[in-house]
Amino acid sequence: MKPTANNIEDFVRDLFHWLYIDYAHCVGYASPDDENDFSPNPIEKHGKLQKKTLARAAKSLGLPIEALMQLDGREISSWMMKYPYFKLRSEFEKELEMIRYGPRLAEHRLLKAILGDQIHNHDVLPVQYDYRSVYQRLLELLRQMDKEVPGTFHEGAAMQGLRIRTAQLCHFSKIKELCASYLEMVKRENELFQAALTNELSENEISEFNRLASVLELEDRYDPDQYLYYDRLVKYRGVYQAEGVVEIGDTVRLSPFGSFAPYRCAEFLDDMETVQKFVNLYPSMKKDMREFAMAVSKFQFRFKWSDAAPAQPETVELPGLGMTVEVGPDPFNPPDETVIFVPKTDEELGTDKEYVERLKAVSSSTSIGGLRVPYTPSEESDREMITRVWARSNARGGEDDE
Amino acid sequence: MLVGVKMMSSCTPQQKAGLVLKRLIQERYSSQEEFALDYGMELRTVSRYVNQGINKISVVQELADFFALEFEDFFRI
Repeated sequence: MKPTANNIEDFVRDLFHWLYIDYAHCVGYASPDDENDFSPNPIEKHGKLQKKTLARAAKSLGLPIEALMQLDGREISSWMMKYPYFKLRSEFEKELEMIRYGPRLAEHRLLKAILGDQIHNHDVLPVQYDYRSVYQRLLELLRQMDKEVPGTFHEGAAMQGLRIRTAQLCHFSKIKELCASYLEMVKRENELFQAALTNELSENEISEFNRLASVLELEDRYDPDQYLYYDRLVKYRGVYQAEGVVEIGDTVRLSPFGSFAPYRCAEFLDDMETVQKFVNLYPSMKKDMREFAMAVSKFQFRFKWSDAAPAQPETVELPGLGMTVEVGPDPFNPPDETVIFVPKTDEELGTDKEYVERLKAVSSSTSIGGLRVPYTPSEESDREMITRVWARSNARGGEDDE
Repeated sequence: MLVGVKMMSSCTPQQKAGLVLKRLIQERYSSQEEFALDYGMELRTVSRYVNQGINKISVVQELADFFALEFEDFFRI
């Protein structure tokens, strides 16, 4: 029986799910101008196959359109066997879910099955802490800080909209294998990238390059709207040669993991060579690790004092333009909101204390032994950056790839 | 030096924190850019903190952790 458009859409979405590829980013959004609508382009609409969207999905998956129309996943299945990453990633995600939801995991899974993405991950607070004691420590800390920064504690005022967040390290004994397989994919993509800088790739190589570009979220630094697929790389070949690009990292970046952040696992810190390799690949990972170290070693409180003056718009100077604009309070980080970290006690850190200390140490200043972050071209001058953006725009001829 | 001490004593706590950050950067990094890269912060934000002070308690807490200092150190140096 011939597969229906619905069957094909389900099949394609499953493939994206198995490969941990961002479907919406690859196929585009149904209403790109509506900032409240994040629904991706469908492959099936009113029972009909949307061929343009299907073609985009096929390119992202590195598969022929015919394979998708026949629900043929054999090529993907055998390719996934080459990289234990995919199987291990699924096990890793389960561990993360376990640490995040603990005894409420079953409840969370049930709600997620019923409500889907309406369930927010951050709504769950670990249950093992005595929050009455943590709250008392918050009050003590505020009073203590008030001695250094008068006005920190508002005597007699109420804390409104109080939110508490914290995080925990997970444990996954196969993290080394998971990371090694991930780095193997990066190595392979780099080989294909280097070959493509001067030569045409074969059909099979193009498929593999495109699939890995989706998995690794390969982007040109100066053109981050779409992943860097082979057709775009061919257009940029001349630009890359002129800029002296020889490998991934010179101009191309891999997006920081999507949701795969190996530093959330304690055992990741057992192998510092791998940790440094990841920071070299993703310079922003040190910042992510530093923020995560704050989250695991402390409780973060956010609230507004009931007597706080409301936030006012701010006048900001636009650098180099000699203009100022009035900017309203940042809704995600309002200036009238108080954010305080309350350190966890040794008892609260439990057996993870040593790993938490290690995480803090590697993400601390290089002057006291923290990891070194490689220089990235994003630190160049604005003029140079604009030149590179224009070079890519000209190479594309102002057109987007399909 | 005396001028420096006098300036510090007339500063708000937020300005003191900014001056302490400035000194830490001068002592431990070759430039503000190098610190910005290591800490993972936009250069313009570093510049704002150094020149105008740090008005968020949580930012001082994060910086104290990054340099393995006590929170109070950002106001007492």
